[in-house]
Amino acid sequence: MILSVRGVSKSFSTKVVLHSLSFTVKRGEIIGFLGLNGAGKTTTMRLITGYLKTHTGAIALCGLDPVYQRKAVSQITGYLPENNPLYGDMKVREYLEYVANVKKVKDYDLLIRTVGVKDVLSAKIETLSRGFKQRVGLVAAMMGEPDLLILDEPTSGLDPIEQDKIRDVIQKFSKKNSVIFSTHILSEVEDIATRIIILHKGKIVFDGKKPRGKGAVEKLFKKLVKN
Amino acid sequence: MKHIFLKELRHYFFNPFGYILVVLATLIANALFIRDIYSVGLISMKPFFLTMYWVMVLLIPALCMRSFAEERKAGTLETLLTLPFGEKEIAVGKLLAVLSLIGATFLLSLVLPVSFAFISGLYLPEVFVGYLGLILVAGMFSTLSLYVSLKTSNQVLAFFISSTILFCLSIFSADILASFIPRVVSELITPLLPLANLENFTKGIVDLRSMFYFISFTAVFMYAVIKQLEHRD
Repeated sequence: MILSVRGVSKSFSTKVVLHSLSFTVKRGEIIGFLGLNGAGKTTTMRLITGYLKTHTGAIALCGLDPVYQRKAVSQITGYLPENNPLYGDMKVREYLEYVANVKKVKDYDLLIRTVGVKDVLSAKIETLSRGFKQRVGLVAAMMGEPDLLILDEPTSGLDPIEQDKIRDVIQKFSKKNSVIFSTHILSEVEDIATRIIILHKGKIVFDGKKPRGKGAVEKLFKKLVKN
Repeated sequence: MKHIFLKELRHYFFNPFGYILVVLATLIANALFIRDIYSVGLISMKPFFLTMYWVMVLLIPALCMRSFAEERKAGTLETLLTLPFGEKEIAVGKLLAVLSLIGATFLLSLVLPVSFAFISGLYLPEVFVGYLGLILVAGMFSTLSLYVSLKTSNQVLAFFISSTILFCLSIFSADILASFIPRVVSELITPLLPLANLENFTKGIVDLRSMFYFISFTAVFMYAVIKQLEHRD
């Protein structure tokens, strides 16, 4: 087991955003994290990476506690935050070198070619299209083959071609490691997820294998979040 | 830490803002130094160090304002804190980058005093003690400004708050304080003010108490920055 989340709750001042969340992730799984806006997907991801601290409950990532071992956790996770914040004034090559140095990764040429950022290495990040920015963020997250890749809406705002490209990369990556990704595109979950977790108002309302059949995920999602 | 330091330094040196500030600070300090020589007719480094102190009251908040505030605004603080960096590495890396830039300002400002030392017999060790005092002040001001920058996502606000705090801490000399509070109280407060602690350094005296004062304040603000980064609530 790569990740274990047990009874995790989180609140911001008086507002409780997560209520006693529990789930596990095994190696090789691609978890589709679904929920309406404000359901708690981003907060859960931030708790797993250690960017936020849990109030109650415990998270273990390969036996590490993100609250007390954030640095070690970030060595074995790759994280693409929502809106993919990058340093716009840096060139792609500079940024990727910076991340590689921090993660102590020496060779990432194959990754650059696989994700398709080779042609924009000399470009300034702020001049890139949203799709290319997303690819740069993905390369940075995947660098060093982390045990768990956490992607917060990786295909949001991309055209269908870019979306397919990113999905391909995620699928290739999951052959060795695990992926948790959040999305509002339900067909994406049908295409690549091996399991789905649906969050609603800070609670898990579904955790299991994705239902089979075209439109089945959408049907299930709508049924669960309507209540 | 090395990577944060280099990234920050790269930002300062690839950005005209950093250059402009450093060059402007050096020009102002040197111009005032020359003015003092002509108006007083005496080559003394004391007015120069005091001028540099006031330049730092504005220069350091200007250099530090973007350090964390911009990262917060752009969301890259999340990227930073989910990379394998310790909080101490982030804080120290950013501090060292700011201090390097201030060090560059000091180096540039050295040209005039050193030239005068050759023609007028200015006592160089005294000059270096003065610079030591300025470096200690820079450490304290930088950590305070970094802390303020971490508390907001607005750079301008960070600059305004830091420079106001530093200005208020600096404007109160013993004489000003004595004019509106009892002398006993002002004598207690004065040793806590940075300008009063720089005084001996400007005269070429290495004051261990003042050194302890500056290092303590730097350590306290550094600790506050690290704790704030660890907070993550």
